[in-house]
Amino acid sequence: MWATIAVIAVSILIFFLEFPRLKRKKKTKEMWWFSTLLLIATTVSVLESRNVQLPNPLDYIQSFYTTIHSWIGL
Amino acid sequence: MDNQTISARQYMFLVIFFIIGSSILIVPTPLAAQGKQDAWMSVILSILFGVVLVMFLNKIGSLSSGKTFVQAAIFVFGNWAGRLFCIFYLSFLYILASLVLRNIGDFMTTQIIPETPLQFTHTLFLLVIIGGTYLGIEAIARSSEIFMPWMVILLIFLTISMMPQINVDQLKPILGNGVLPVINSSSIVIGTPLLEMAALLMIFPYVKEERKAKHAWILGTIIGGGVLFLITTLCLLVLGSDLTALNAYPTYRIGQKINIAGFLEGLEIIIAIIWMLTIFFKLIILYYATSVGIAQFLTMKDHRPLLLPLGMGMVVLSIIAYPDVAYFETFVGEVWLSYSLTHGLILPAILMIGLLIKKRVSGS
Repeated sequence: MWATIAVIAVSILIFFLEFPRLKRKKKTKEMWWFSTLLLIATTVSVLESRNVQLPNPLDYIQSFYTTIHSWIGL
Repeated sequence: MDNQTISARQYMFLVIFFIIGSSILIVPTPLAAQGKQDAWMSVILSILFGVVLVMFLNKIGSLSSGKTFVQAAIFVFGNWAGRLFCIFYLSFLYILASLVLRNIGDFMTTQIIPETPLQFTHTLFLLVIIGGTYLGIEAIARSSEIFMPWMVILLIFLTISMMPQINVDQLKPILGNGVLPVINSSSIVIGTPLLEMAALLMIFPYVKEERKAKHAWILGTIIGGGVLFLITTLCLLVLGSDLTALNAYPTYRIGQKINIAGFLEGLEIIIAIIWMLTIFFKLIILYYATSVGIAQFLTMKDHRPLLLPLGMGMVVLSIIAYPDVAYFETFVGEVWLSYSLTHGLILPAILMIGLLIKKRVSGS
């Protein structure tokens, strides 16, 4: 529980650290990308802090290259 | 990105740190397991390969004329195909950065601070990295100039203090198992630091004089490879190939064996300092390359707003990446070479072909 609260607190902190600066300079595109990335990162961190089994990109890489290896007979 | 330049010498230091960082930690064990007492020869083979690879990367650097890898890819392949191309490259950098972060975290939790959870070690280390990346490539390069003498002094000290324990018989019989294991095990050093150097194509355009930068890159590769050679040879000479292959961190183990006249002991933290310095620079280069790359991918003018969200994601990725040590060993042993070969050699090769065609077309 505390981990989740801490993660959300950190993302709110990051948001208020960067967002006003971007808004002052009226960088609309930067504001959107920053918010999107922060939202993704927060979602992933919250899921991780709730002990949800997240998909591991290394699994996909591994299965991809094992297939390739079996094709060329390694 | 921002109008910053670094000198060729600073670039050479960054290359040296990039090669030593994290490979000094994880390379001697698999080398000794596969190459046995001849592992030192396979490092030399890998350095030769590295020099050829750097010449090839240099060629791309001069062909793309002041553009980073991402900018050059978008320039050559157009908005959509170029972006698809960059997704592979950037995901490689991001995953590599989180694996490097995991290396230092694993080392800290198993050897130095066993009761601190992995998340906190990673977060603290990454905060420093983000701070450095925020300041830009000039500050990173200048700090590499400050820390390089320290690393050299510590390495010399380590080598000298290991001298009394060296046993040359550990290297015999030379080529006892034939040449094949030497050639096979040279792929370890090729895969772990050398093919990852494609990341440096994101920094290469910032170096002031291109011709000097090329020399600096080759020289840095040779020096960095030389340090890896020195460390591997020291491990073999002091521990022997069997013990080196059994230890998770053989370089740390030889540090524990330092004993100067019976009163100066427990100097293994010197090695830990070398590691932290080099891994810091490797990670900061990778993190800078990733964040600048993503900023250029999204056509943003500044990479700084992306740093903190990317860092949050990286801490999570570095924790879920390896469930256990066995997974790490199979991944690094079986998959890593092909993975880094596709992203560190084949992707740049495709880019180079594209650049050459583009040049031919626009020239005629």
